[in-house]
Amino acid sequence: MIGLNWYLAASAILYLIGLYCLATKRNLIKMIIGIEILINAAHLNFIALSTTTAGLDPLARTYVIVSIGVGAGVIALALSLTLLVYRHYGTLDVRKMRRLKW
Amino acid sequence: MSSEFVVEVALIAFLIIFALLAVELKKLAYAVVSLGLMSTVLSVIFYVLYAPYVAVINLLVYAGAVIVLFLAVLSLMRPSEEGRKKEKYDVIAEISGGVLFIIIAVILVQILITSYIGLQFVYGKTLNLPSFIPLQMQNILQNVAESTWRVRVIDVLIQAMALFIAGLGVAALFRRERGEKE
Repeated sequence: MIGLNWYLAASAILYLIGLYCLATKRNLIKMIIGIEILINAAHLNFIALSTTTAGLDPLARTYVIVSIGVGAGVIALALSLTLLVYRHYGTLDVRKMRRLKW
Repeated sequence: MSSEFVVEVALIAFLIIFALLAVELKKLAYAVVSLGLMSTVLSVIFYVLYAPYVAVINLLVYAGAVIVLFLAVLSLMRPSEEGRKKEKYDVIAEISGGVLFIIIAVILVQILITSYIGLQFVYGKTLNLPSFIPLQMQNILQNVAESTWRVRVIDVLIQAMALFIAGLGVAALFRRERGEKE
């Protein structure tokens, strides 16, 4: 295994990419992709920090397993909301969603 | 510079490249496929970091189910493309589909082994793992299986409940009012 710093740096870069996506993209699907990249960055951080030369921490792995399930639920719900928004407004551009009334 | 170093740095580089592609590609379908590749590379990284359970579940959920959901939503949003010409991307899609099938077959074997370990905590028997798994990996699998099925059973049940509620939420969002026509 290469040093821990490599993985922490990769996790930080992934987190920055996710934040950049959320801040600059206006397409709802792209924003959900950004959220998923953020979640993946957090998982990588957990796993990298729980893998040390002294030993492995199984608790962190279990947390990540639970988090993967919850993250999948979040993404599924967000995608179904996106589909409803598309049917209502006819677009995925967040700038054009001004009316909250259904 | 050992080969291990090169492989791990290459994995990290691919991870970041696919993440950037997922954000920057204009066509949403390609962006979603790139996201799936990123999740696959991340699963391999988890495996390298001695987290086989997490790797398998990440591959199943993020590289599998979530990507299928994304593609299903995209196909519901666009008009049918059945009449279009066969593009050069279709050949690439077929080849990458074949490669993905092989990876998933290998992963399925891994799932069978991990669920075999989980059984011993359900039935209370000690099960011996197949001898082709390295001893170090056997210990890791035992530790994580014990942590999941003995120490954190409540969390796993809560997770199952959260997924059930998410499924109910999606079903409720798409329900039809009585008498409503499409």
